[in-house]
Amino acid sequence: MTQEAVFDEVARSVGQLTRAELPGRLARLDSPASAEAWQDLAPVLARYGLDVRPETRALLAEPRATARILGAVAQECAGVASALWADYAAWLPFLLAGAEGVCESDGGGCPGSVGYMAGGTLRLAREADGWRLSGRIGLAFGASASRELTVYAESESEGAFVRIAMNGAGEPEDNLGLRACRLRPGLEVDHTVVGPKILVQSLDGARVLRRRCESIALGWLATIAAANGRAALRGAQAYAGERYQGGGLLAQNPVIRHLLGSAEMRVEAAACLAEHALEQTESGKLPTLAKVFATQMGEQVCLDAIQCLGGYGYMRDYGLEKRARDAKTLCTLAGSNVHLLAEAGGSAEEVAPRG
Amino acid sequence: MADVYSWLGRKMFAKKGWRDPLKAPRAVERFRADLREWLQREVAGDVDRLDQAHEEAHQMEVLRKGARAGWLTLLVPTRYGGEFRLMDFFRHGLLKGVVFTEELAAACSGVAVLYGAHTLGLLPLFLSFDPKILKKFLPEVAKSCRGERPGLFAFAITEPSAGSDVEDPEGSKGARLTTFARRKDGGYVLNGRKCFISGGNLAEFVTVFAALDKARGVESWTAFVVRRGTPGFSVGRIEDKMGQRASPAAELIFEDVFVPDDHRVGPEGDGWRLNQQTLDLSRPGVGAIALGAARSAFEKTLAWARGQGHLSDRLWQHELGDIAMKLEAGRTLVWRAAVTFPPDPALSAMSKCFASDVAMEACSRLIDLTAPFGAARPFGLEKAYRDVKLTQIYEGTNQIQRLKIAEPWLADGGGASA
Ligand SMILES: Cc1cc2nc3c(=O)[nH]c(=O)nc-3n(C[C@H](O)[C@H](O)[C@H](O)COP(=O)(O)OP(=O)(O)OC[C@H]3O[C@@H](n4cnc5c(N)ncnc54)[C@H](O)[C@@H]3O)c2cc1C
Ligand SMILES: Cc1cc2nc3c(=O)[nH]c(=O)nc-3n(C[C@H](O)[C@H](O)[C@H](O)COP(=O)(O)OP(=O)(O)OC[C@H]3O[C@@H](n4cnc5c(N)ncnc54)[C@H](O)[C@@H]3O)c2cc1C
Repeated sequence: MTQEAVFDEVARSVGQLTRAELPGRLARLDSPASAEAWQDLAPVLARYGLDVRPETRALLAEPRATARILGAVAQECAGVASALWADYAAWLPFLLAGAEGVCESDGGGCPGSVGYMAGGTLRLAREADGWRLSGRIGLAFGASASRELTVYAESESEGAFVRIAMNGAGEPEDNLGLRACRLRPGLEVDHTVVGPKILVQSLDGARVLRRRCESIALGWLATIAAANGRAALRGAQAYAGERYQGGGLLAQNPVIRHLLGSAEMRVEAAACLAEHALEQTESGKLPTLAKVFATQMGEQVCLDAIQCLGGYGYMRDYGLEKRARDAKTLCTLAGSNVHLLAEAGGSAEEVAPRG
Repeated sequence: MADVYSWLGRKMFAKKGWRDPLKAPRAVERFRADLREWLQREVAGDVDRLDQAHEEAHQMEVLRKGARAGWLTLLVPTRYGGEFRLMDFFRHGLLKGVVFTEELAAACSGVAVLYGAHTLGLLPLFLSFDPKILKKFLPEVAKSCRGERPGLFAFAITEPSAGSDVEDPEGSKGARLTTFARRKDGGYVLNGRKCFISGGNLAEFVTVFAALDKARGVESWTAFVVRRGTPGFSVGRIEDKMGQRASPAAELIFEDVFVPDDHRVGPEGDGWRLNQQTLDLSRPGVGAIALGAARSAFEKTLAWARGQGHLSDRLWQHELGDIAMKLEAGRTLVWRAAVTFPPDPALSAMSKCFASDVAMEACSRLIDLTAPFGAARPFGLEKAYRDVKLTQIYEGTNQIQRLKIAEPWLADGGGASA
């Protein structure tokens, strides 16, 4: 079996799982009660191997394979995909560095148990009995049920990835979309870490690893955004094939065909760029461009899909308004699109052409 | 230089009675100030609850307060107990109406639709130019507004299988209508179903459009006022919507509903004209709803950015400048459509379509700019984002508006080359 075929197989089985398990849970996951909905969803996801257990670690350490998983989940629910995204991103530095000790510390993560490191950098200091971690984290993001968080900290000469408890984070915010996840503002950190929950490297090494992890996480987000947009588009296409208006089926109406064609062009371009970015995770720039582009396109496509259904698209029962809310929220993850673009535009790094 | 300008302004323009056509007259600005103060006092504290839950009693409470302040009778002539003066209309056309709507929407666009749907339902009565029907219903509306349950109107054209087809003349030719009226002694019997009717479940009176003849479709469309409680008339499902959740969208069911002759609005077969002219008048108002919601999102962002010190950042200045420019362009178009008399259908369509498109873009970009906070509920932008999307859909989707703009060019043979 080629590597691509393995990825396809993974995506197919995850797709089956999510089609079977998620639709009935979507309403609760999209509500303030989503933390409770996670309680019974997490074991299901784990049963299908979506937790970070030893057998799946090799796969998860391969960014393109993980992208297939996230894409397949996002076809059903971008919120659950984003929670897994935070989870995988939180495990990623340890997996890439082969820091099995950290991974073993509680026998692999239950899906949705770990949030991704929030913006900002914490201070790291060596102490007699371990490492002292201090500072403030602006935001923590993860599944609404997650209790731990991977954070990044630096001293003068070292950088470290650390898993800490989320205790003390502010009340979770209710968000426009991705409501299966929670954004917790303001977490004060000041404690000593011992044992297997920390991965310390030289400052340069840690920075390279961090950059690489961020690039992969951005590529994953782009994949989620494209998959969410594609699913919205499929919904709109199906509707257009059934709805009679303006003297014929919408699918025969040139205005709607143009709308659908333009949406398809954007979704496919976004998906291509996301894939391209995941092949170049040494680069910081391309994943940034891919994240911004795919989330923007994903949002536009979801809004166009609503538009294609007219008033029906605006109603919760049809599921497209949730896709649009999720899509817009994806734009706000891992850096504001406006500032990410300005940052990328200021970087002299050259993007390598594909192939 | 500034001094020369102000001198010129005083000496030349002001004296000659020259007025900036794009500035609201003082009377309208005073009205705006009073309205803002009222909204702050009576509505601001309720917005969250109105957005979260469908509570009919709560929605009625907001309407009751507004009715007492005169907001539900702005269109009702003074002689019937309302606030409308023809002279005001000659002075500033619908400007007061779009300012009213924008302010309401800046507080909560769902609340703006609670009021807007009532106006929409009343407009066909005015456009029928039939004093009898005005006299029949308007005094009752005015009186009810001083009581416990304001007599709201709603406007019902949309049917499950005919949405755009009852907005677009071209599509209307093949519209699959399901609501029909048939003559019976002393009146008509209505059967059928309407969907997505804003305020349909709260209304005391619904202006319903029904075809008299299946074969002639909308050509035989006729408007009727149906009272709440009439036997056979019931409310079906209330939609669970993305936004504008303060304003319920209801399904209305008509099963052998008898409507007396004197509840018919205009002559038989006048329904399509009434429908189109109603929408021509109201579309700038939809543009105003979009702008109001986006303006409020903009103001919140500006205040936050100032507090955070972002305003000294050139990228922030550039983004906010661009968004402000587009919103102002939208407002200019809405105001121009509002002061154009008789209403220009293409201009009305442009104002609704352009304003809602730029408002949607604005809300989206403001969330991007303020990420990650902007998508969080307490920040207030996410509601505007959800609310504004609807303005691209109702009263004719923005696709239909674009086709409407092209309509005059088809008058002389359409497709054939010029
Ligand atoms: C759903 C969600 C998920 C998230 N997930 C992650 C994650 O996985 N990993 C992660 O690291 N972070 C994550 N974040 C946090 C987010 O990426 C950062 O918080 C964000 O990039 C802002 O950084 P900050 O918190 O340091 O705030 P600040 O740096 O204080 O920024 C606050 C505001 O300033 C703006 N700003 C930032 N830089 C500039 C600039 N140079 N010029 C002008 N304005 C600027 C920002 O756009 C924002 O509006 C997430 C956020 C959300 C909403
Ligand atoms: C919350 C809400 C409140 C509403 N309030 C009211 C109300 O108070 N009273 C009332 O009567 N109605 C109301 N409506 C109905 C609203 O006006 C219709 O939803 C709207 O006209 C679109 O019709 P539709 O939903 O059936 O979509 P459709 O007509 O099915 O349109 C689906 C898609 O096809 C496109 N399309 C359709 N026909 C054509 C064509 N000929 N050429 C090109 N594109 C076309 C549309 O642009 C759209 O993209 C409301 C709707 C909503 C959602």
